Amino acid sequence: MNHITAAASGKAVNQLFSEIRDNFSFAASDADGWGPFGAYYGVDFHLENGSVVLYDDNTVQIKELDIKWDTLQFGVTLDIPGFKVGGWCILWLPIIGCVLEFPEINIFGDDPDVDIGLDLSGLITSEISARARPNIEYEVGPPARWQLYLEPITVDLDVFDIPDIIGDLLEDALVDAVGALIPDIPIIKDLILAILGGLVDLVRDILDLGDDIEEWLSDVLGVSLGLFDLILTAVAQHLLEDLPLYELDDPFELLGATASYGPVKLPIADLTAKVDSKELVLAAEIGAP
Amino acid sequence: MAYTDHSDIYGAVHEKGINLFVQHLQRQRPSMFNYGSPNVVANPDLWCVPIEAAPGVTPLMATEQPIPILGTNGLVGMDFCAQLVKLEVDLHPGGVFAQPPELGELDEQAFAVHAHFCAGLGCPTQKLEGIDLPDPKDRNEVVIPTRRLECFCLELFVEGRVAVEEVGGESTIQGHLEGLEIVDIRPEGLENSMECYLATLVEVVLLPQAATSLPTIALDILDLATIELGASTTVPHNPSIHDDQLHAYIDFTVTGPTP
Repeated sequence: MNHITAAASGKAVNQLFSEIRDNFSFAASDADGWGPFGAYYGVDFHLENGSVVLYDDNTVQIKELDIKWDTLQFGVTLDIPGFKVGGWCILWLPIIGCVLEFPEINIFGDDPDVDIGLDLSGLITSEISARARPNIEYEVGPPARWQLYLEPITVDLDVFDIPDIIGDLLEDALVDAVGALIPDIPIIKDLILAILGGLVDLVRDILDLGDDIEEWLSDVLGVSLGLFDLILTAVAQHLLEDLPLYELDDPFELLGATASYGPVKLPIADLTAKVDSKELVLAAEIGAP
Repeated sequence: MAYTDHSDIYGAVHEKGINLFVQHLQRQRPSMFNYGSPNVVANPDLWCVPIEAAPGVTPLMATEQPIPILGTNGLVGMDFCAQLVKLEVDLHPGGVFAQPPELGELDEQAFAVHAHFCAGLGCPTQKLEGIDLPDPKDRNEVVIPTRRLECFCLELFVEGRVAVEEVGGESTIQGHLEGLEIVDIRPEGLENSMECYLATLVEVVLLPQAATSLPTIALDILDLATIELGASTTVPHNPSIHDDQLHAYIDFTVTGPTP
């Protein structure tokens, strides 16, 4: 028989979860480049909603925990390979030489040529779900303590519900920005666009967008920049791995110090945790004097 | 059946855990178990029983005034010591120790305490006519010299119950004495008088000190900042003593932001 037993119902576990959730915040930023384009972001978010469900197989499920993006700013940059248009002779006369030359124009000579930032703060919600099992660890310290963690088994991030309008906004902004780089001289602009095959196709070719810019955006943010992994890691580590659900000092102070004596402390020889569909149970053994 | 079928939070401590706690308390706060006059406190050779304490813990014995000699206006006293050598708790249905016949079987929802208690009086080591008794006007106290205490030991048994009571606005587990028995004391009047004195000591001093706040227990278990705790009222006994354990059932209401 255990010396001390404590149990928390599903309601109590959810209250504990809500207090941890409400004290969570996260901020990060990063930038990187791949070939002709680059991307950067700055994010911070907090958590809302969600619940904890207990299961008989000694696991818990964190369900539908919302990631609320207080800041979600990102941008894409384009460094289109430059080329020159013109510089060739339109009218050449013997002896005189070239009397009319097509002006030489340096297209896409800047680095980067385009820098478009989008601020999606407050527009996007992500959702995270996780399955975990209770795990007791002993931290040697000082101070030495028993710690109850939730060890993640699976963590799923329902990435971004990127609205269509965001994709359209980004594509329009890219096309406008690239178009602005081409001299607005009717004949020349038409000629360049004829050479490039049109602005929309140009942007899509450069970025390898395919047909779905939302998918591209999600891929860039999630895979290339690793933002989703970062979020998963941050949330999972904080909620499940870094932040113990419960800590018990060893020895545990039972009576405070007085003018004559130090505190009365009980050595905790063992601490176990288990979960079933109704409750989380902690059991402790007191060490011998 | 789940522990929390009748409450949000449940806590239980087994009698083995309580007795281990008592042993740790004896080693870390020995002055809660040992009392003596100043000469006795300063001279371990006078103690009835050696004190085993954790390394570095002092004082080992609490200092009390010598026992006054009647008729001296408290100016002459005798050295003494009183030591609670062993204390053990037994929760229903019992089994840690045997109850004396006077207390009978341990009742349902009851706890029992067994104490091995030793005490001694510092009898004079020289004839009293050789001692200069102080003039009452001087107010200088004299303790009769002694080299050895006359010690005796008693077996003390207590039976009681626990209840949740409001103390200072908090739900508190409070013990109540129901019976006390000192084994093998005669005559009966002396036994009854000693039992009366000790029962009063237990009721007035010891049990209030052992009262434990339920919120303190629960908040030590789960560090929840935004809840208000109270004893569950859906169980017939709360706290409940059964299966050699003291069980507490606690409900909470959220006082902070809702989840």
